[in-house]
Amino acid sequence: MATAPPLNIVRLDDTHLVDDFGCGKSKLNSSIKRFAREHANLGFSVTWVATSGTDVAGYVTVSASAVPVEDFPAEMVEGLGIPAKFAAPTLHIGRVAVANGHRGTGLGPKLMWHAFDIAIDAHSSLGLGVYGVDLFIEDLDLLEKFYKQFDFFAIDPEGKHLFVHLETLRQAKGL
Amino acid sequence: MQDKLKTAAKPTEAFADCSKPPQTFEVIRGDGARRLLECAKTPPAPSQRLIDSAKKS
Repeated sequence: MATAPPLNIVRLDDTHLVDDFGCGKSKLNSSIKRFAREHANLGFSVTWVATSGTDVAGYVTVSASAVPVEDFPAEMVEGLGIPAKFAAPTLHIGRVAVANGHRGTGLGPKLMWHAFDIAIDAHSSLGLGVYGVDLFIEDLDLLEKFYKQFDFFAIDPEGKHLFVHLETLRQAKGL
Repeated sequence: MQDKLKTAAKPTEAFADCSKPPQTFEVIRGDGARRLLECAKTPPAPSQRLIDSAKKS
């Protein structure tokens, strides 16, 4: 029996075949088919795909986001020496999806850690202190089924906007 | 001027879709910002599950 070739996570480009991507969620399917490349061209986001060549087994889309200091409660930032115009950078995960044939292989966590590593690298290379990773979920069941394993916690009343601190991720990697 | 803007700013389909929150460029405000700052002051230690996940990936 032939062994499946190993998957590499690389930046989505024109050589990748995305038209047949299917993960059971129409929004996630259409996102990579219709928008991922154009959003990358426009500089909105970057999509990373897990692939052994041209077929796509899964993907994660990331972009920059930020928390303006002016939105922090004043009493909490007093005395910290943070400039008023500063914005605490975060990495935003827009989409993450695993194709039907690759479920249960651990690819979802691999893609999540790829995004986390980007945040960790940005923190060390830019020196701006990427603050953490945030994302939105539409299906609250996914919080328990998937995202809680990464120590995400909700930061909005509805429980759909999730966040994990960069230091938590760094410690998990032993950094 | 308005007409000029209408014709000039013809977004692509992707651009139009991206303007709908909460896909990108989301700003974290209010209680969310408070929780983030609390978290920044004392970042939570990773769970064993997260540590295991980091080792596997």
